[in-house]
Amino acid sequence: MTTPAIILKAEKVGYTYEPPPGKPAEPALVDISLEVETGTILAIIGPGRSGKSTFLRLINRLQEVAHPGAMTGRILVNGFDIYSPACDPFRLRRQVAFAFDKPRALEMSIYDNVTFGPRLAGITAKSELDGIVEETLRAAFLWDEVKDRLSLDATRLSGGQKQRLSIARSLALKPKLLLLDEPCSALDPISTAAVEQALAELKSRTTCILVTNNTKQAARVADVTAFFLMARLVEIGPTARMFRSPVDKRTDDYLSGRFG
Amino acid sequence: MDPAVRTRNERINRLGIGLSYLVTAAVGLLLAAIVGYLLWNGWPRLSAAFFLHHPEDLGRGGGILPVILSTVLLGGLSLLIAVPLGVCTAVYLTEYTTEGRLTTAIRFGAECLAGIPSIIFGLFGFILFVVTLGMGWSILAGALTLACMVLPTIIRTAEEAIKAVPAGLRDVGYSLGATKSQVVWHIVLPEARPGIMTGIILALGRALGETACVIFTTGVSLETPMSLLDPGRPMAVHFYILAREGLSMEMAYTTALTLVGLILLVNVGAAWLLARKRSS
Repeated sequence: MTTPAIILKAEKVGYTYEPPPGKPAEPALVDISLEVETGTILAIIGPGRSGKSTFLRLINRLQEVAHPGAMTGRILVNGFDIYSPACDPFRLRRQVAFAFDKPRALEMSIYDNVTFGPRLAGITAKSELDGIVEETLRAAFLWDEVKDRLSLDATRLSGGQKQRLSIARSLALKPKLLLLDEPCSALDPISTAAVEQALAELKSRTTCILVTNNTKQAARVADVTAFFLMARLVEIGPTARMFRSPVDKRTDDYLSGRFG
Repeated sequence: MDPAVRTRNERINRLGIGLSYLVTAAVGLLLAAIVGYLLWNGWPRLSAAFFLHHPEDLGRGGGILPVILSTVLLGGLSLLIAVPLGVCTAVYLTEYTTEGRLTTAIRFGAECLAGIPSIIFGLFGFILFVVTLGMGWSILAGALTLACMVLPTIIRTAEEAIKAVPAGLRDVGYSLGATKSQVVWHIVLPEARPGIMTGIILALGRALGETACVIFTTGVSLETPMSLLDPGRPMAVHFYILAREGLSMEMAYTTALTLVGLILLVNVGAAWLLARKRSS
């Protein structure tokens, strides 16, 4: 048996938001070290403000776009230090895609939404774009619902459809790693089921990291689960083991609903 | 709840609803009165010939073809100048700079410009464009002056529209590998388009209805402008001269009716464009 490839490696990652003037800086992340194997789904669970989303946004350098702050430690994607000067964040974001918590459709057609990333990356051949659209919409379980109206303004889709469109849009870049930030927090149970079904199928093509407030969702879809609490990684392990017999008392308390 | 309190609340509620209906009706009535008055006085002379013929006898007879042409040229050209400038300024203020002394100064400047009476713009345009830059009374000088006048409106509305674009949409752009300028062009501006359009329509309405500014810069010539360096006379000025000189009140009203119709047409056209964009 070969050792599984490690796609993501975080080494002692720390992060502090630039504090508002006159306030002390409080770290949002402290000493996070973890590894993710290629072709798996990692779920990051934990109560609000535990640093989950910040960690996720550091992995494709989205954090630095909107928020000033200071990072320590290293993040390696396929062994490549993404915070080294040699890394181009715009190219990185094509390989490490992101799906957001709020369903957001760009003010253009469904077709143009999905091909937005590839077109920016310089793909112009109609046949190739057509292929990407069908393939990714199928992967996101949206194809059957929209195949006859690809030129429809995407802002007219329902919330659940928009969220699957966002996932298709991210997949269109053929990313090695897909980051999902609470993708179901704004969805009803039926749409959530559709997104989870899409996730399970996605594993074969891309590694996923899923931040979720819903521990049951982590139990349903994730191979490995990590528990964040107050800026620290408390525990990480195979999902089944985590939910059956957590090592740390705090994990147990959170999973059994004693706080959170 | 105490029935007495309930009936009292209901009475207050009904009074409030009644009042708001009344106020709305008053506004609608005012608009209807103006349009009705113009229709009453202007309609009898309205005909295809009025649009297609040249004025005769200083405007007492004939049509207003060159006047319509001047109006359209002035309005279109001033927007052609002011819209790119205004939208780019708004993009700079919102996307490319952090709040500081410079942005405060630019905003303050724009607000001051918005408050200056149009006749001052007219004098400024006369001195700068007509005399100093040697353009003479011309469509070009008038359009440049009008552009200066409507610029603050466009900047302000475009800025508000851009600010209203949710930050999450920008994140989507960045997460797909877009650079800052790609995010601005492909995501922020399309999303802000309805708001920007509203500002442009407001600006166009002002430019089309302007007289003081234009008399000084484009002149009052009734000849057909054959180039942008020719003088002309837009509808608002034509109306003013016909009425002021006592030449023909009937022609004045018909001109005014045409102007209002044109502005209405622009508004409806813009609304239709936006609606079509949404449903396509």
